[in-house]
Amino acid sequence: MKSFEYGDSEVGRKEVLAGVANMVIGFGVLTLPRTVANATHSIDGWISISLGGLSVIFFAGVLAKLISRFPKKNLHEFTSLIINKPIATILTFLFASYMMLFICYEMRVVAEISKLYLFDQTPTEVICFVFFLVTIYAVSGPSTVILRLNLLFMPIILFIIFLLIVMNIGFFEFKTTKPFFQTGWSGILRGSKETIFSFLGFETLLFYNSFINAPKNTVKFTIMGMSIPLLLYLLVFVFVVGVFGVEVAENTLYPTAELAKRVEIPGGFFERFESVFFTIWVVTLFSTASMAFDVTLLAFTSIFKKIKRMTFIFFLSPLIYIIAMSPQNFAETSIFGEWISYLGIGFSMFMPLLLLVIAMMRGVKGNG
Amino acid sequence: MDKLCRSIWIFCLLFLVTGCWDQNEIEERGFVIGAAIDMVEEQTDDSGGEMSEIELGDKYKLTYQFVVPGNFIGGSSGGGQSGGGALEGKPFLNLTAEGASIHQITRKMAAETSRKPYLEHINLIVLSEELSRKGHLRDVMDFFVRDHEMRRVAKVMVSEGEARKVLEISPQHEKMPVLFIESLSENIVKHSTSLPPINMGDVHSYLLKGNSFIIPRIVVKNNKGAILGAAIFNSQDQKMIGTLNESETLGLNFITGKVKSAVPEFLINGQLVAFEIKGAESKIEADVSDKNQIKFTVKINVDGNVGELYGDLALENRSVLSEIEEKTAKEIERITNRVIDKIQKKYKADVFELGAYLKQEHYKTWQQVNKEWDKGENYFSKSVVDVQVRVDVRQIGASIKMVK
Repeated sequence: MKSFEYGDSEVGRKEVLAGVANMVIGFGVLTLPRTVANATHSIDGWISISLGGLSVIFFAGVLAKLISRFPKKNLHEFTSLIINKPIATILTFLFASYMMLFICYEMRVVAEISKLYLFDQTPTEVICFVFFLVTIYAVSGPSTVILRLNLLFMPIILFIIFLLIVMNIGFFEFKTTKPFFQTGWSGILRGSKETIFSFLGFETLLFYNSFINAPKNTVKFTIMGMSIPLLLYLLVFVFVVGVFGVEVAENTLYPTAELAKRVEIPGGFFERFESVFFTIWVVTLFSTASMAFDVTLLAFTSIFKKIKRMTFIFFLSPLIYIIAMSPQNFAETSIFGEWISYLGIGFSMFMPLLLLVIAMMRGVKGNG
Repeated sequence: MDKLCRSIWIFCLLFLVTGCWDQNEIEERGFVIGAAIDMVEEQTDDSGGEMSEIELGDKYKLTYQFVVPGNFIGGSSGGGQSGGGALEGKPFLNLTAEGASIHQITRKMAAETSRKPYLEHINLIVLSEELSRKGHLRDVMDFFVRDHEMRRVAKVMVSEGEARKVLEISPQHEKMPVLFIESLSENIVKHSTSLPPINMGDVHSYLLKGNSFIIPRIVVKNNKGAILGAAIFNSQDQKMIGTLNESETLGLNFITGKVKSAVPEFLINGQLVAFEIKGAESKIEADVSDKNQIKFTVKINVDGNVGELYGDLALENRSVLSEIEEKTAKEIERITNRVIDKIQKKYKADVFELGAYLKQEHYKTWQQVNKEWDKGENYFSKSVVDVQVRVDVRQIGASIKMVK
């Protein structure tokens, strides 16, 4: 008889795929069409997205290669093996702080956008607080639960975004997407720089590695997981430009949200598709935020082995909330987000590459 | 005992913790389905007091049409009553207020009505001709594009005369003026003498692209509304610079390929023929060898039926059919050439979307002429637009000949 599949605290390859995809899809879906259109001024942004996406997928592959070299070990453990313990501790501490800032930003953005489109009267602080309470509840349990939750959310998210696309097919005008191939290389590259930010998040694998039970497939499924957001971003971008035109895409704060508002079902029976869209979107951000919080906790507990997970939750939560509330307005939040994105490039792309190169040079492998 | 205490506590929490900050009772919401914006007449009121800069500026008069749900079902059709009050049985209520910004006026209205204006369901925005001619279109549109409640699908129209009057018409077949006008604008495909509906999102994109554009025009006569012709806006400052009448709009629709159905009439041997157009396609080609005289060729392909025929023409004859085809083509050419002439000579504003065509197909040339396309140097008015029409008669109807 087959043993009970989900009884252990391990996750399989499906969870890796969904976890990566869910972590990456987040805030970016809403703003990406604008930032890319701003850089390229034409439909050629799809080249930027593909370019940016493929380069990030390359780095995600590097990261997956690194962690599959050390099965069942987290960042702290394998860095100790590759370099030495003090440096591993410093790196893990910095990584944990970065993840913590990432949650702050994520939470703040959820609150801001929910306030703009959904809760006109509710103060940002309250929206943020409620969202955070749910996140805290999620991370109080074991990590595998959060990872498995992704598998549950994934089909719903994909379904809603595809529904958004399908319902806008009628408004799509091929004419508005022309002319093709008119953007210079500098524009394309600037566009792909913007894209890279929207593809970050897969660095959580550095810690989730300790739960993955099939290390052989990690590289393959990480890349598959990363291609889901790439395809979604391409579709959404092409549709935003095809429906609204580049000029509108450039000048609307959240073009994808406007796409959701554009949906009109004949008969006037169902006009507010955006409410469904936003609900699902908040769900993706919830899973992103809870994974980030979970990884922060995993990172801290890997350094301070004696302190309990719950103790960290109690001490970190107020700190996270205060940092999340400290930007005063939209502009400050954006700057905050930009800095975090730069940190993210460092931690998710360059650090793993460096570690992999050192590990290969020294010939260090997990399990000895 | 401890368990009991705890369950009571949890039960209480259920009521204390749940709730909604943004709670809005549906009965307390005033659903706005249409808006009309006019200019307030200049008041030369020298009160002598200190006036802030804003108060010196132009003021708008905003009218919202609210739904009165109670009267919507079972109420009388609302015909024959005029004025803006919520008279007995009328399913709508028009409120008007004045102010310097649309947002402020909307707030003011909330103070005047028991139901807070809720804009999510606005279907129609009417701007007065005066406001459009003064170039305030872009200013008043800002609120509607910016506001999170608004959806981009609200239709935009320019009224002849006062915009408020449009919301006060007595509609036939429909209970509310706004819904009536909406269905009118959907019927336009039947005659193509006005534009297909232009919505707020379209206007936003016109303003951002900075091109000339046209908006359907609504005319109120004897308390009845009709959508006739179009208002032209220029590209420099988005001011309304003129209007197109019905046949000119039809010509323009032929060029932009938006004709779904139309009935041109002409004479053959002194007898009237009405040709029913079932579909028309237009294709633009351009010769860009000389940017000072770009040559556009607009090829229009028309399919249709013989709709009505007076006199004793026999349609079994192939030569008669080709004569009908030829005459129809001539008639369409006449209509289109007239509107091209008028636009190029008088208004010099590219409302045919020829600039967009250049951008899409001849990007290099477009970059050269882009800045001064229909302003300054005005390459648009210097260009040559040649129309070629090809007509195919598909069906002649059920009769060959009516009289002997």
